[in-house]
Amino acid sequence: MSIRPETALKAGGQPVSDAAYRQISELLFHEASLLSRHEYSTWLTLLAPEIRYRMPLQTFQHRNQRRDYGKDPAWLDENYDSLKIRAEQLNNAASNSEAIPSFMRYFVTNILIEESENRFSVSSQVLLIRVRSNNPTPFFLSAQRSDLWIDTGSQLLLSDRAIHLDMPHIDSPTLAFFM
Amino acid sequence: MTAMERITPTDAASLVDTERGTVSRRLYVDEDLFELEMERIFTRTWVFIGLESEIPEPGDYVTRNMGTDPVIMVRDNDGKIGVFHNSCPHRGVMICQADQGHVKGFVCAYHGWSYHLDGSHAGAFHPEEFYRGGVPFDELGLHKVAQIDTYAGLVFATWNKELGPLIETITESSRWYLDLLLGRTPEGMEVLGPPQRWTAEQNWKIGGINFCGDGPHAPTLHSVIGPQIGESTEQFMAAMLGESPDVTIASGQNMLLNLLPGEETPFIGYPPDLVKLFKETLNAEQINLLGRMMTNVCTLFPHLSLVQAPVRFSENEPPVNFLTLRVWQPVSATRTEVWNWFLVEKEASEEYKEAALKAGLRSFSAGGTFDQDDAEGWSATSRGLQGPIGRSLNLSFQTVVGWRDEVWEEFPGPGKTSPNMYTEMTEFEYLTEWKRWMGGEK
Repeated sequence: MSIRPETALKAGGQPVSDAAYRQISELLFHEASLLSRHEYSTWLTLLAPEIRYRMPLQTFQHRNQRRDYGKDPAWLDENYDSLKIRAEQLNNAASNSEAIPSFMRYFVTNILIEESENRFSVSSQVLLIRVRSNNPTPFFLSAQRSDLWIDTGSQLLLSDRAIHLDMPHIDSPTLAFFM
Repeated sequence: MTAMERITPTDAASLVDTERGTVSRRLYVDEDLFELEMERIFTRTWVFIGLESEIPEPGDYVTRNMGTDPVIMVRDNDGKIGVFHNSCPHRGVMICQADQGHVKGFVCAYHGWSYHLDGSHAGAFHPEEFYRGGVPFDELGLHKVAQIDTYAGLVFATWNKELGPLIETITESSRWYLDLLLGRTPEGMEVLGPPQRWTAEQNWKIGGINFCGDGPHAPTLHSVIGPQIGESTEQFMAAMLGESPDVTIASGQNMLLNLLPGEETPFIGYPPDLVKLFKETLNAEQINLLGRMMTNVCTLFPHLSLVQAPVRFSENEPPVNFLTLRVWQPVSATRTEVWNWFLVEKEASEEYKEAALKAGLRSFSAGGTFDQDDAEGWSATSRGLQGPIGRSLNLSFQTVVGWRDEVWEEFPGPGKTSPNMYTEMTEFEYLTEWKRWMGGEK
């Protein structure tokens, strides 16, 4: 029996100690701080080489008429190499999209954690507020994240992240950021 | 006074100066012009609706737009595709508010009027005597488009009864080029999922014009990402500088083929089993182009674009071709919704299909590395033109003045081909087509 259905997916494990809860929560806050400051080269050091980073595409559907088609539709489906290319692009002043960096704020809450053999299933909710130079109106994006963090002995590394957006049609011209 | 009364066809035509190669900036920001475009263009041309492979079974539906009018595309019990205005003939309530689904028939949530999959009236909530014979139910089916037709699995519809069949718009000559992307294997292409939809802060024409063949923006706006994910910097640059035809396929239909120079056909980014199928399907001249192709962009007036390129996001993986199909869905003069699909050959292996989807997601999509840079450029256009002075000025397509008499006579395909990707000829042809529809010539 699990009282934490959102986290029971990947490690299928046990509740963690208070110390581990605090350590991982602070890691998520640290990550959010890096992302809000566009510190992408440091952010990359939190990623495991085998990382899969995915943002599935959702659709608005009627309860009684549901039908899906296609192969796992997504907004993003990335590995370490492609995330690295993106990170370098976003940090390069010769790239147009973030040549004038956006202002970004990440609020990370509702953290649930389970552990199984040094693997931590971490579920969190994120609210991103982004203000781009081309549009003074803040853009809000909320999501539920399901992560798998692996303890290598020296460090916790993110090895899987699925970001479920609460916005089937995105009200923004770009996704030039990470979540 | 309506926009139609405020702006005559002569007024609209005067906004595109075909002699000087200039265009009024009002085309990108003027709400009156926008309203008029919805009337004069989107109720009268063939409009792309979706793909047959999105609704394979009877009862499958997706919701779309034709200009600013919402429509439902549905497959009926005979397997036929129908396109209907998405509002109840009774009181106008939108019948389908979901993006996609499967139904046995349609029922309006407001008063319970119902419709068969072929759009005809099925019943009302109350017994017939309640209406006392005054309601002509047999005339109150869902409002149908005038014509529906398909090419290569793409479904088009029009409200215009007078318009000729689709083959008169997407002609045999058009298909000679479009088959390079959509008809290059015996079974053709299939859709990889529902479209991504996101909001762009720009006029709907800007993206379409860019995809006609804005060669010159690639080495500037995409200078960081372009060479990095091409097969190699050398090949990317060779193709940029090489023999890249800028083709006006037909009226309002344009394609830029970014080709590797020379006669070798390396088919970069395709698995050998697909190349074999291409060779069975296309003719020798088409195969020569496809085998040398790096990037291909294309726009069919008014708002359908395609882009394909081989890309690699890791040195450890071979390059893979993606094919993106998108519409620039008009919302207002300065807002557009981009609807973005990915396609792949039906015959391709599951592994290649997945790789092609990832390649597309990483390149031309809401999160695409190319789209990101384009999107901010296009948003900045709307910002640059918001004032009265901005509207009074012109956009420059004057490069065409120096190139319009240069035709690549020996180029093997039909249509009119300009000799390189810097001519701006195809972009300006799109605007000339706009003038034909808005100015009363069409």
